[in-house]
Amino acid sequence: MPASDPAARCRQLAVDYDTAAGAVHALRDVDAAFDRGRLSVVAGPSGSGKSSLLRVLAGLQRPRAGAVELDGTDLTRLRSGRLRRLRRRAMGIVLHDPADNLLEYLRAGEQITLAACLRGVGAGEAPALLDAVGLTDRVGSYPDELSGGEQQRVAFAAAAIGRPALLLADEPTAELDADAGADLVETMRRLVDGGATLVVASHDDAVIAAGDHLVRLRDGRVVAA
Amino acid sequence: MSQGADVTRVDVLGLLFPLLFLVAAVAVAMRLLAAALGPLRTASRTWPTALYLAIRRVARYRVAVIGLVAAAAIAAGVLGYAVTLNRSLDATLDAKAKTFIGSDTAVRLSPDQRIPPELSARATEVAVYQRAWVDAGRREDVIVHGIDPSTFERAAFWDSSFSDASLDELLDRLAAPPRDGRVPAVVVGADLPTTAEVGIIAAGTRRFTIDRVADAQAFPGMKRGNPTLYVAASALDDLDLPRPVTEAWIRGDRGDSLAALAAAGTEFREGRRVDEVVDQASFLTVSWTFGFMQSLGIAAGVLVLGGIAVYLDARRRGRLLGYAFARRMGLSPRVHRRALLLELTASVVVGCWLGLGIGLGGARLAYGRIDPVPGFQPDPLLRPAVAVVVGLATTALVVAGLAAVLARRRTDRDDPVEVLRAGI
Repeated sequence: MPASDPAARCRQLAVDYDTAAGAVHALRDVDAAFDRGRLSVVAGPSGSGKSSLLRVLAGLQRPRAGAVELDGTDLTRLRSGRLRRLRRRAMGIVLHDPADNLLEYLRAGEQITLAACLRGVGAGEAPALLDAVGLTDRVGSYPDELSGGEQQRVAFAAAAIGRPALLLADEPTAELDADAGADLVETMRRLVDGGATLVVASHDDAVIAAGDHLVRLRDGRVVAA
Repeated sequence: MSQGADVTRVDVLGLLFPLLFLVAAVAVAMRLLAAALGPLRTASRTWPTALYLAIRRVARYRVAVIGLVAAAAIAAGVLGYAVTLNRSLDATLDAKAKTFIGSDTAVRLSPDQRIPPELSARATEVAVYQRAWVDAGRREDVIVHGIDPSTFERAAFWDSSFSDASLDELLDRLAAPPRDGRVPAVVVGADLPTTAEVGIIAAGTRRFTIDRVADAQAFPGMKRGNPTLYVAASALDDLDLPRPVTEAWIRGDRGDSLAALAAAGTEFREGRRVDEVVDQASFLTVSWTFGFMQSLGIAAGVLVLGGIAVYLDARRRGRLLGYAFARRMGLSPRVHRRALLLELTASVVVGCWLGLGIGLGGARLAYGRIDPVPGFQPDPLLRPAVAVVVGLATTALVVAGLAAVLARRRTDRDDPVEVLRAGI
């Protein structure tokens, strides 16, 4: 894909938090583009603004300034209802804690079915996705019957169903051991090779090494892209 | 019901059976509910999202939910059962007393006294012949009541359990003129052939033949142990009978009726009163027993409310994550709220309604065994506590709705953005 037509793009993004000690500038003048069909990694130390960037990309937080475009649509100008519909249709999100990515009362297969239902697509793709994440035999398991790595893989399968324009993952390997982390990196790679556009915030070297594109943040600014 | 020397006591079996029935029926219902969750889960794949989520939540937390359903069912069942039986007992006692008396108030009029015009719309005169016999192969003592079919219905107490025929129909039959000299009669408490000879003893015996036009289980003014015949008073006019005892049966408040009689200058004597017919104190044990059961039901209901609070608190993190999930996945808060309401409805409302149904079924099985005065008619009456049942069923809906709203507000207060920030 040409770099001039990225799946998502941030322009002059600024995010502040009000704290008792005063305003904290989480992101400052961030420009970044995330190409289609690639694994982009947003890296940086804790507090560098990785999570804030992902949250703004997901439309879960409005920036103080700047624009976030998804397929040419500026998310910062959308009303909440339209934003929610866009997020439902065009985004999949995976958090760092495996338990936060799944509803505890749904089985693995149902997590994917629900995601498909909310996205308004058929669940016919679910078996292939479960196969892609290597969990065909765990389709009937509840989250608490799965390991952390397995939970993250189910979360990726649920996030990826219906082929959303953008998959976002925040530190997806943070809670996993090395083997499970390696399995998950392989899963992410497989999804991207299958056509997904994935933006991952991580400081895990294995994830960074697997990425096609690296955006490095420090103190809320892009220091390398 | 058994009766000791002084105090009527509850038949323990009669009391325990419906309770055991309630517990057993709830247990069976819970098994069926648990068994139905699997098929429901399968069937709901294409159902609306809120229902899809609610069924899966219930299935996932089945032990807690079924426990809540069972607790709600038992609380509502005990309450519905006890209130219904208490109400039935009160209605039965009242009906027995009024059946014995004939109406709300019965007074014996002095000779030549009539019912004053101001009471005529709700009163009737009854001629009572205490000394009489009927010959049905052998002579049997009876009481003969000569009634006025045209005014009887406006004053006399009547319950549909008294006879297969309606009171209207019976009165029509009594009002028919004698055929071949046979006086139409309704027979209560005696097994008579179609026609029988009756004698009224008063300075000699006046004989006439009755034509049995109907049998009744009970009839207003009947006396325990005495077969009673009801005929139209006008049908006895030609028999040259001595003046009978004349009673006035009056419907409505007793105090008002007596005051009206006194104001009209009517001479009368009140022979028996409703509250004297049955010794209410004798039934305090029974009443207290069911009152205690009502209290138990209410206490169990309070425990169920506590159970709901615990259940919601235990699910708090799940709800928060569900809400966060809603934000991320685009699941609307409305769907999330509906799913919560459906989940609570499935536990509290289903439990309550199920319990009420079983409780009423148990009461229906038991009420016949709880007869405060077995010798008096009518047999025990069933009076479902409709207001309580409807009130409880509505309360269950309101509780489920309120619990869902409160849980939802608490989730809102917990600031999902903070939850998200903790996660993303």
